[in-house]
Amino acid sequence: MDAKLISGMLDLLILETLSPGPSYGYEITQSVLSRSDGKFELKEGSLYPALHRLERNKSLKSFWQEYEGRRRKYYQITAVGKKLLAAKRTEWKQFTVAVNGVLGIQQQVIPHST
Amino acid sequence: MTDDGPDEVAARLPRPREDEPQSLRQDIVDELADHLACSVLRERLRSDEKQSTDLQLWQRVIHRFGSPSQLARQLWFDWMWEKIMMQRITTILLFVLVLGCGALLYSMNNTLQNSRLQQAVMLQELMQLKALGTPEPVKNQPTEWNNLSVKVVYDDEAKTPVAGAVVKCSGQTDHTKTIPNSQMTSSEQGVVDFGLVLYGQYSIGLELPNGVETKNHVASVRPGKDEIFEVVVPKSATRPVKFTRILPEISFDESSIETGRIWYHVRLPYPENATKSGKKGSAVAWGVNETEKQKQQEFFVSQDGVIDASKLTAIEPQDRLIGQVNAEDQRLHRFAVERWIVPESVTPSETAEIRFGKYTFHDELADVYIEMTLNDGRKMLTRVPPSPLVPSVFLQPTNITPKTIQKSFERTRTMLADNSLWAYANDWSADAAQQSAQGSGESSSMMGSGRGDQHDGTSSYGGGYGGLGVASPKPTDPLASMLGQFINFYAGASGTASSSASYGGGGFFDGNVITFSVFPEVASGKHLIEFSTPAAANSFGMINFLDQIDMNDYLITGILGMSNQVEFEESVKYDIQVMQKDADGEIQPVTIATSTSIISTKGLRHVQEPDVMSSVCLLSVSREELLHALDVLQPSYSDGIFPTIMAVASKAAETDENTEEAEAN
Repeated sequence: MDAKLISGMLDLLILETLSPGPSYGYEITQSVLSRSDGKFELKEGSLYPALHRLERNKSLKSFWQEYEGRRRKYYQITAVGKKLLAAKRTEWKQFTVAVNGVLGIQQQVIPHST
Repeated sequence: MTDDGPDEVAARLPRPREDEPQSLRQDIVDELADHLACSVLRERLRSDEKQSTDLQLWQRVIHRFGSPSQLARQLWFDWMWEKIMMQRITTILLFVLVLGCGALLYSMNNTLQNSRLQQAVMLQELMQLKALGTPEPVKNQPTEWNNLSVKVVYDDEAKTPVAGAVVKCSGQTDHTKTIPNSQMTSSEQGVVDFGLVLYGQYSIGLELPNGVETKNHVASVRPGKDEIFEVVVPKSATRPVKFTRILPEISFDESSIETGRIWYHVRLPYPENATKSGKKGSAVAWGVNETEKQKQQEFFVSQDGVIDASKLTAIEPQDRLIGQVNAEDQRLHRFAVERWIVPESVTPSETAEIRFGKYTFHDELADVYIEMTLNDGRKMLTRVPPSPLVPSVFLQPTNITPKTIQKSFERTRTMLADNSLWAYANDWSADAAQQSAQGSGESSSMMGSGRGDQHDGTSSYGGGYGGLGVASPKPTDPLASMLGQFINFYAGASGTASSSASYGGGGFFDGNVITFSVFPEVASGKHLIEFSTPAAANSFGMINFLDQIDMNDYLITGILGMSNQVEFEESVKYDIQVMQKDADGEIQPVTIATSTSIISTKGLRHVQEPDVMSSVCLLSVSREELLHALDVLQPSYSDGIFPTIMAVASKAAETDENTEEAEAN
């Protein structure tokens, strides 16, 4: 898939992935890969700058934990991040409806599980 | 591990900064290291090849991951970007602030300096004012009468007071004119006290002990205020001026030339308000032509001679006519009445100091004349024309170059050596002399008596300068008068002059022919004729003279010189007429005589020299040719190229037949 399409949704994907609970970088990439059926392979060069950016704008917060003698950084969505996520979900819906409308694709309603 | 291990990644991060979070570097390295470790583990689990080494696994991970160092640096910059930019902005702002403060300080310093200077000036002025003291109280006297004193000082540095100066005071304004003129002599302190005078303006004149006279100083006396009028006068009646004209190398190796000299017509300005020095009637050093508003002195000096003013002879009344000098204005004689013999070779010098009395001249050259005498006595005085780029009526000393002087010298020599010219002139003058002798007594004074036998075939002039011939049926007309004046230059010391020969002999071409130039424009606008005699060479006298000339009396029978724009053939006979510019500015021929007589003279080919305005050629041209020449030249007039056509006037009604008959006889 075109990486440019993914880059526009990166924040949405990260926030959505962290919405159930904290996670770390590698796990986030694997989760997105798995939930997208292998369609979305987040590159580290994009993921970590996005994670750090979201952390700087208070959408995420981080904490460290020891794992097998290594320090592992976990990210957790904040209240600000949840608001941002909700906004981006709405934005995405509007986007897809609009694009589908242009393309003539009938919108399929997919239940959203929170 | 590899180059992308945690240590290597950390090492490639930018240099630590003071504002950098302490754990930032380690956090970035640890986070990426954890990711890479997870990736390696997954790659190990995924790989079926048990032979894969850790290095190979690591390389595959790195291949998918990319450069950890680069990513680490990016993460570090992302975290530090804001701080870095803030620091840079702060630095720039600080720099701008420092510059601004520096500029402000500089401006303040300048303002302070200027202010100090102004204050110093003001303080000095205040001190000066204080030094003046308290003004004297107004005298108890009628305000319309106040004291007038005159203090005379020399123009030296010390302002030396002039003792013994005669100070004349005369009223200038209406009511002051009623006051009798007063004259007093200055004291040792240079002061003359005229006492109480009416307020108004007074003219102050001075006669100084050094012979200088000055006048037209105006003293103003105001009501209620005494006046001390200071007059600064020149300490010396003369001033040294250095003549720095570069002179050409002219040799007299021609056997036919006896002497040759260069005369410099010099104008020398002198101090203001100066009137005269010396006695009336003497060759004084100064003179003021107040009618022309010119304060200058003019005289002719030889190139390397020393003219002593005391040796100049007295100006005879008739001599004054030469320069139109009258007894009142004391204008110096136009011609040097003393002559010097110069060496045969005139050597050039860059600075020629010519002393005239107490003067030397500094490049005040107005004219240069070539005087040349042949062994057989023929003599000529020619004027060196200025550069063709400047009309000759506006003489400029700088336009008389060594080259033009040289050319004039050669030209003069050529003219003198032309025997045919003298032969003709001889015939003419003899005929004219006969005519004048039959005429009124006035004319006889115009004719020289020292003619002698002029037809000896070997010499055109028997002894001395030969006779005078004025080709005019009106011997008393201004042309003849002018010519006679000119001739006087040579007649005085010739030894051949009798009482009636005071105007006889000599002159331009022996005085037998009148040479004049034809210009497209003349200041008078009336004629196209300018007479190329020394007396008429400059603006002096020319305009008045031209107004008096009736060229119908004269027939132009030859071209003496022409501009370098036109070339006439040799040995061709033409008719000549006078060309005159009409009211429309058109050049029209003026029929001046019924005869179209022709001079059968040998012509000299005109020399094409771009920087010589006119060369002397003796030719005769037809009316048509002259018209053609003027038509050709006329477009050049506007360019300032001023052609000169010098024409020779002869007496009227002379034909070829008469000439040939005379020659045959």
